[in-house]
Amino acid sequence: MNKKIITYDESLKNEILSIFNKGVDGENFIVEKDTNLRVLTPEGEEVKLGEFAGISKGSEVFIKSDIRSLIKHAKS
Amino acid sequence: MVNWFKEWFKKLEKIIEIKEIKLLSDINVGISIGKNDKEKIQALPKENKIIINFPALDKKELEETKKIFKEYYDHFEKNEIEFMETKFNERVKDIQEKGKLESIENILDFYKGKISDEYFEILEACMYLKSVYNEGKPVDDLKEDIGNTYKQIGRNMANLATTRYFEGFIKDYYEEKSKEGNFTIEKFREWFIEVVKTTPFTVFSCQEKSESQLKSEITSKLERFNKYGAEFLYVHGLGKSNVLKILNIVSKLEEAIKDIDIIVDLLGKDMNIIIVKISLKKKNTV
Repeated sequence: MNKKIITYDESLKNEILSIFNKGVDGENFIVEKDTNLRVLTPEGEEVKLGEFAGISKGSEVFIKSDIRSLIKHAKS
Repeated sequence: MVNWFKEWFKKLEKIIEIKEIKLLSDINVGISIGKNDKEKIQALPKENKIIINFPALDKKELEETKKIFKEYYDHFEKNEIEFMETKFNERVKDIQEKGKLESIENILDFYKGKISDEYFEILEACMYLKSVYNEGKPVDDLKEDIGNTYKQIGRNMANLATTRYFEGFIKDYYEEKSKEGNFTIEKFREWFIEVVKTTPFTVFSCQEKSESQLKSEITSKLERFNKYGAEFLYVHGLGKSNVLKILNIVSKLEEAIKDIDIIVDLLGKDMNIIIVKISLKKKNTV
């Protein structure tokens, strides 16, 4: 099956995160709204709103926007 | 799947007042979440795509729409769905397409296993940068990204990639050395790391380097570039100011050092690319 990709405009990052019940803490890191725990990438890195490129199901895989993360995602 | 999408779309129709939507088919409908504040939903029939404009929805519509987007996400299995910011989705697609280019594939295949995984990962990023650079597109952001991610080694390898060292000198060096009886992959890896850390046979000019900094880098590398199996020291510059800076240094070097051979190549439509090839005729004091 072809992967379904829903694209979104940069200005709507917060709205997309809220679909997944995620928010941003005082230091601009993405957090679970219920627990305020910071979300992590598969490499265990916290994700700032400015670095957030997208989310993939697996269950929720956060993708950062740096070249290393994007190449890894392109190969996945 | 088709029926499922129709059912999902009916739910969306109940939330947002949707006028007639014409698409090519019900299969593989692309969905974008946009910011056009006029239409709540737009159809791009040729692309078989709909754009849902979140900012145009009222609060209730927005909350309900988000809920059914979560349903949409939950419907799929692992790796079958993702939400991606448009510009990064474009980049991912571009990385995938350029990764299939024969010229890039050949280089990566060559170095696979010859350099460590850590350096191979950087090489992949740099070869992507090179393919964008070859298209004549701006690469400043990408170069900065590589520098931020992989620090000085990333910057050095990016410079070596755009000036063709990975398909040129470094590859040739491996091929020559591998014919020697005492060759080992470990020895090549040691040499490779030293080369990408210090770029001993190349100097790259950039806006940030002053003329005196650049001159001292060139003279310092002239003292030791032979050690790495290179016959020449190359100085690269891109852009008018770098070209002028390098030409100034070259004229001073010619005056200061005896028995030096310097070949200057000015390339590009406006002669805004410079490659200087320097060799020492015999052992010299720089």
